Amino acid sequence: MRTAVALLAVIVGTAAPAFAQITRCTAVSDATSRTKIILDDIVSEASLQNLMQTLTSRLNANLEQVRTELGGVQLQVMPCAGRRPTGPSDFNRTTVSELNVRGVLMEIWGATTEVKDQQGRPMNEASIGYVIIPVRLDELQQQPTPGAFVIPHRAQPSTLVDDLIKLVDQAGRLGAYASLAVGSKSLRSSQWDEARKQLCAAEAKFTRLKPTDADAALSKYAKKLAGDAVTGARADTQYTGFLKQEGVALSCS
Amino acid sequence: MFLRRWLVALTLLALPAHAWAIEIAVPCARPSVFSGAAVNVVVLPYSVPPSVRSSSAVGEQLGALVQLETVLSIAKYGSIGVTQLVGDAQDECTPEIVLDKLLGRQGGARETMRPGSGLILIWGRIFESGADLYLQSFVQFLRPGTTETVDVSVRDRMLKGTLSTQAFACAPRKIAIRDLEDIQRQFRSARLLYTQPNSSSRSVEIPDRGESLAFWVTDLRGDWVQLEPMDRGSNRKFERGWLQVRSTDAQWSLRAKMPELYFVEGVAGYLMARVRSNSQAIVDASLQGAESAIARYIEGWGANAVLGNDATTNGTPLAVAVPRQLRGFVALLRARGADAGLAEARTHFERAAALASHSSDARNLVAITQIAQTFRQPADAQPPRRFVDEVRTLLGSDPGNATVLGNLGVIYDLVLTPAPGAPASWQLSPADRGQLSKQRDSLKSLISMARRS
Repeated sequence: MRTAVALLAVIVGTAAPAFAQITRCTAVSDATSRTKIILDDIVSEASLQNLMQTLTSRLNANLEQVRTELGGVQLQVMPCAGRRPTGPSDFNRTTVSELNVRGVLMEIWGATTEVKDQQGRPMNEASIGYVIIPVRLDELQQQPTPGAFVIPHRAQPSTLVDDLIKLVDQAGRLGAYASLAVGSKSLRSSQWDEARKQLCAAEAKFTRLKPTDADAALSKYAKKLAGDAVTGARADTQYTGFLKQEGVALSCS
Repeated sequence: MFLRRWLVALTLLALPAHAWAIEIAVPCARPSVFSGAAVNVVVLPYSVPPSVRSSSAVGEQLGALVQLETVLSIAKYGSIGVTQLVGDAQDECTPEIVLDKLLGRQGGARETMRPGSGLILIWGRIFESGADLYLQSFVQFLRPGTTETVDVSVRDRMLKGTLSTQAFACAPRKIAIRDLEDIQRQFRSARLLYTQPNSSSRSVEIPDRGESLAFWVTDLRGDWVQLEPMDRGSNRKFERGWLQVRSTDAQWSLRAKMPELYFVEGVAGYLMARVRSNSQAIVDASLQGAESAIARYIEGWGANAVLGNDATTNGTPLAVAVPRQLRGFVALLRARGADAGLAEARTHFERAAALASHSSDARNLVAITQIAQTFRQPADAQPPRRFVDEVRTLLGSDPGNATVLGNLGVIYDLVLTPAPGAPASWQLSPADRGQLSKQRDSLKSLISMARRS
């Protein structure tokens, strides 16, 4: 009996956190903001406080930069304390649809852990998880571009804070993702001019990044959607804007 | 230095005694400006992420020093108000809430902005690690209800340009702990009100907690400002006194560590010139101050930048692109339509566009100066027909941009109207003329909508 209880405790103990980590968050349902980015907990092993604080600080500042510079969009960045996704698979169709309806453009989470490199040497790793809601919605409908993914950044334990800041800074990447998210969402609601503007901006912003595999795929996707904005505008009988003009190219430049 | 003193002297003579005002420790929940001032600067406390709580009050203290440094640098423009806010950045002390209140979009401000005046908001984030302080500042500038634009005349027509943004993040910087201690020491010394502009004279301490305190700035002498208490409902009374904004022993200047304060000085001069455009003397002096301060910012923006000083790759390209655009605006305004101003502005706009290639407004600024130069000095090898295609491509990437659309209408008119003295290569073939006329006609309703907007 005691063994069975212990076993049950182990099962519950491992399963419950995974379930509990994508907990509900009041920021998601906050009706005062129709366009928002959600920042979840940054979780850390006790020995990696330095890396965790650097990551937290940079993500906060990077998101403030996105909010400040994303022209024409009333964007809010809202923290979700206690929300800890375990990975991209948490963002299934039901969850992502709800986030989309609530005006969430992106959700970001992070973790810092001790890992070993291929030679077995200890390394510190800061992983940043992203879900770009409109792209994830498309991905769940069989489109191959990743809408939810984790980007790991590794550093030797002796790395100085200055270098950690360079390692984890996401300003350029978040700017590109935010433009892609706004553009993609505008495309879904047939706001062709705004979609085209943001998607072309996203395409240009991606060219300035050191791209990961996900970034390369997202860059291509932004380019494709920018073309879709022109095609959609041409086919829309209600639309009378510039994209209806003869000679407007599908490509941005 | 001589010029600066001369400008200060000029403004002191030209303006009423109560041309500048400051208020310290104003609660964010009830922010305020000096509605009678032509340009207001509001400094929010530098915040720390909730999970990275710092033990010191360095965020608020840094905000207070930014305020004082700003007073000293922009007092020369006259008619300014500088307010320091205090409160919790996680609550009501966010730039969007404060701005909404100051613009009267939501209630809560004690005094709101007057239409037509200028406002600069400064806020930031800090993070302490070991012996270092990491900070990042953000700046927003505006005139309520007005988008900052510049006009470039071409023959009898006008092309317009706007900035890529009026709010941006500055480069994140590192300040060593010894400089942090200097901030705190400077903060303490900047809370003493002396009877004379001399640190050996009698002094009284201004409390750093509790109610807000407002002062008129009645004189400036070197690093000293004379303050006269203002009756704004405060119970605390002070005599007129002198405050030392920069300590004399410090080889340390806040502006050397935070070059963005030069940008604040520059944009304040630009806004002053716009707001007080009915006085040519004020416009000239303000634009000269703006030009010099923005140039110093562009020269020094990379100081202590943690992510490096390559603006194309360090994640904050707009922190250099927008000041360059503004410097181009100032060059055009100072030149009052002369060709030299156009050439200088084009150089700045091109550098800005290289940094902000995603911005159609950045590329539009380059296009309008190129077009103006082409029409002012017609050359055989540069027929203007190509500008139609260039601006159409630009509009294709930002189809809702009313400024670019309005310019496209002007460009069609310019290209289709024969230019006196233009080279033979500028002549359009009948087919080209027909095609361009057809394009212009098909855009007429869109262009007229853009002109109305």
